[in-house]
Amino acid sequence: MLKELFVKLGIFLILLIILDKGIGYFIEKIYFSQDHGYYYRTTYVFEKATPDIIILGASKASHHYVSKMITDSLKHSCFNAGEDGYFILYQEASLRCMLKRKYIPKLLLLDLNDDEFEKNTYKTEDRLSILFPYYQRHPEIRDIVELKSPFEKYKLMSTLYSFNTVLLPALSGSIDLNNRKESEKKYAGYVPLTEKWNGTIKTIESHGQLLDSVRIKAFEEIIKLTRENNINLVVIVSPAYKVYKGGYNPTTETLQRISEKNQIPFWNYINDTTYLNNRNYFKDVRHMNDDGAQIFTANVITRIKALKAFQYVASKPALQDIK
Amino acid sequence: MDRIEILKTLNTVFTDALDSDEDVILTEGTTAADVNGWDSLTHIQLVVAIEKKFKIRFTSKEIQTWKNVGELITSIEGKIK
Amino acid sequence: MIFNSIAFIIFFVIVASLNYILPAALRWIWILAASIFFYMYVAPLYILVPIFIIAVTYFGGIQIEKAASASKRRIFYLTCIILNVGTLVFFKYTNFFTNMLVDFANYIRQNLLHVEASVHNIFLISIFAPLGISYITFQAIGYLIEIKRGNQLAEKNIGYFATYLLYFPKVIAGPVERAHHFLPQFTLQKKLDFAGVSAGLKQILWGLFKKLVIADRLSIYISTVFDNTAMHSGYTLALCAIFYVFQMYADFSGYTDMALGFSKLLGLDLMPNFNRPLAAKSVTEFWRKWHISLSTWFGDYFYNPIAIAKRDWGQWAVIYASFITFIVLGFWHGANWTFIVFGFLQGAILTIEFLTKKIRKNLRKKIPGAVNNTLGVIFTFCYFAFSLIFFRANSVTAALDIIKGICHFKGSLFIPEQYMVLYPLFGIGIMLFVEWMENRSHSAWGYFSHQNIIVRYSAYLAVSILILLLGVFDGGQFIYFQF
Repeated sequence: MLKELFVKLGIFLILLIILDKGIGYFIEKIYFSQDHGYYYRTTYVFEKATPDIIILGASKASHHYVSKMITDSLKHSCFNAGEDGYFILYQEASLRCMLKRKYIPKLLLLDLNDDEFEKNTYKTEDRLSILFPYYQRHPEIRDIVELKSPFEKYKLMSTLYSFNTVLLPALSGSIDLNNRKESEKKYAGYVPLTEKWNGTIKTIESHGQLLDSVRIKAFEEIIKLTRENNINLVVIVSPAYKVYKGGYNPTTETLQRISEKNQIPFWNYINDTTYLNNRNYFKDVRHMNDDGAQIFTANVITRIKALKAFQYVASKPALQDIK
Repeated sequence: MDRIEILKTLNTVFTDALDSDEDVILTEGTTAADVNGWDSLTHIQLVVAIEKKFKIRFTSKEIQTWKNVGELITSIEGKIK
Repeated sequence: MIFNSIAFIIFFVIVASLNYILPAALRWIWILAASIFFYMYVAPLYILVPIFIIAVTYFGGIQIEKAASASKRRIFYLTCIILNVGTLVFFKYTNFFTNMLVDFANYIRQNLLHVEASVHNIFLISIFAPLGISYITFQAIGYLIEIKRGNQLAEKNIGYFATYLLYFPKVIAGPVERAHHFLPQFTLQKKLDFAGVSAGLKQILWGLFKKLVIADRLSIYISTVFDNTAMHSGYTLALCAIFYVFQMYADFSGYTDMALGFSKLLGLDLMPNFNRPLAAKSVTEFWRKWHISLSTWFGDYFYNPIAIAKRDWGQWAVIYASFITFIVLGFWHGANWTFIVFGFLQGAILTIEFLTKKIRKNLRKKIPGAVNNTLGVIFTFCYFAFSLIFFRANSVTAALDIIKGICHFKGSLFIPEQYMVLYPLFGIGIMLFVEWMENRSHSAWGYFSHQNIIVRYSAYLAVSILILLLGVFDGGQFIYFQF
């Protein structure tokens, strides 16, 4: 009985492996032939983008920084690489891939959430599957993916598993039906939101929240990498429509402490009444709409101009000028 | 009344009580699974109809232990003698 | 440990390999050891609860069997039943009942005495219900009843008996196994053969497909909508109510398939729990095909005894027994009024179907069979979907809000990303097609048991590839959406 079982299981497994690699090959092709859409942003940032100024972050980044405004007023190209729903480990991975291909931005704006480090916000391991398609191509991010579980290394030997879920979105990212490619190009990564929020302000109780040391370590790693490569880093917590009870927020306090220690500029907008008093600037509790984003970006630009480090950068020619 | 007669009578009782589309044909080996419409809901009605027809009264234990029509007939046989 | 986790797979490979090597007579010891480990994996101390139930039921069963007088037998029997039911009620329903008393006291204070509603529940217990407690106690109770009725001999080997109640493939989500089906398998010592192992592997594969590709996919969409019902349109809520039937079925039957499959790999058969219920043409038929092990349990130990005792009431006996049975069956699912309403709705429709049997039969003669069958299947599906709204909601008020929302035909369908709806629809399509095929050919496992080896292997491979490509393997799939 054992012999028959192993022979048949063996045949099944061999066929499965052949199909896995065969079908996987085509899906991989489709995935990396995308030229617009949600997943393309990741490929673009990991493998292609070379702007002078890059914005890394999650949805708050993608909806809050009007890249065109930054390019126009600072005379340096800018790309907004914010990816909805993906947090600091994703940004760490982005930075590693950028450095691996020798792309050194002149200025890196890292937008973090006001609850970035809180364990309750999301499960760290859960947000890593977006990196699966890049696991084989980018050895530099493998240890981040492996944080997910000790078995991930073996599971990712399957090409189909590496491209789990992404087939349909990848297809729509390679076939441009609604001319999305053009409009995405125009916005340089910025994703404007139009609705206006009509809810009340949210009061957050952050006392007793546990912080995730894995994510704090990722933040320190990002600082270390930018320092080693002479990248000017600014850490920003952009506005949100909420107030923290007693002004206590463990994430921003941690960011403040680590940034100060490393002499990194840290701009915290979380208690800024310019935004808190203007519900019209928001689309929901966490995100601003286009109106808010314009005001906010203008303010960020003014502050960038005032940065000593940036005045030095600005004196050098922009990347495109050299090309 | 012998077993064959009981079976015949039962057949008419079943056809009336189950009110099913097809004719019911019972044998001693027939079980609930073989008869369309004989389920736990109709079982009780069947029992009541049989009790009326033969003017007998089953115990709860009897009702729950029949495995096929044959056993049911044995129960009836024991009561009408 | 859930079945679709790496930890379980490692555990199972070890258990199954050693089980295969061991002489058949010793296997139960190894399986019992594995079951105890499985039970203690998360919360070790909780093993004391099933140990208590096993001890009570094992010794109780023997005492009932050899009791000299009927009254003595009755005393042993009732004591054992009370201890079992008491354990279940204590762990699962204490908070529900004490909260009800407290709410009642506060209601009286406020509305009759006009004082502040200040009674607090000091009896709240903050413990989890032990793993599988509802299943374990129900199997124990069924065993005791059968011994009392004289249909079952009391098991003399406490090891066999403990394995019966603790057997790890069925401890989380059933089936509610019967002693007369399970226990003899230890003495029969069926040989583990290729056919059994191969059938087990096929069943696991199909179960994984239903669980990962359909149920877990749907759950992402459904929980996003149902966690924020106020923000969604009637169309979206209606779609979710329909989807929820598929989620529930794919999840539960998929998990059961895995349980039965793993069990086959150990050489033990568990009873089937589903028989293509979505093809049922009436709710009455549906309950004969859905969670069969539980509905037959309730049939044998609740419905039949009640209906038989009251049979002189005529039709009322059936109606009375249906309501009682299904309200208790609903409540068995959880300590919440929502489950009681769920059970009540089943009782109500069974009564209606029972009373309209003649009318429907006459109507059937007038319309073609195919139309009639289709209408029956659709009605059954919709009614079950409707009752599941209560099953899914956190409170009766929340369920009523969803129903109100559905009646409001306005707004648009919420589709964050097309694939989030298309993937599960694709999976549902495959599942329904396979079940339709099985229904037509009256054979289980559709293409998995096709005579042609190429068709068979293609089926295994296609399902495996779909699982890898479209399955949900972790919490990494989420709907990026916030209010």
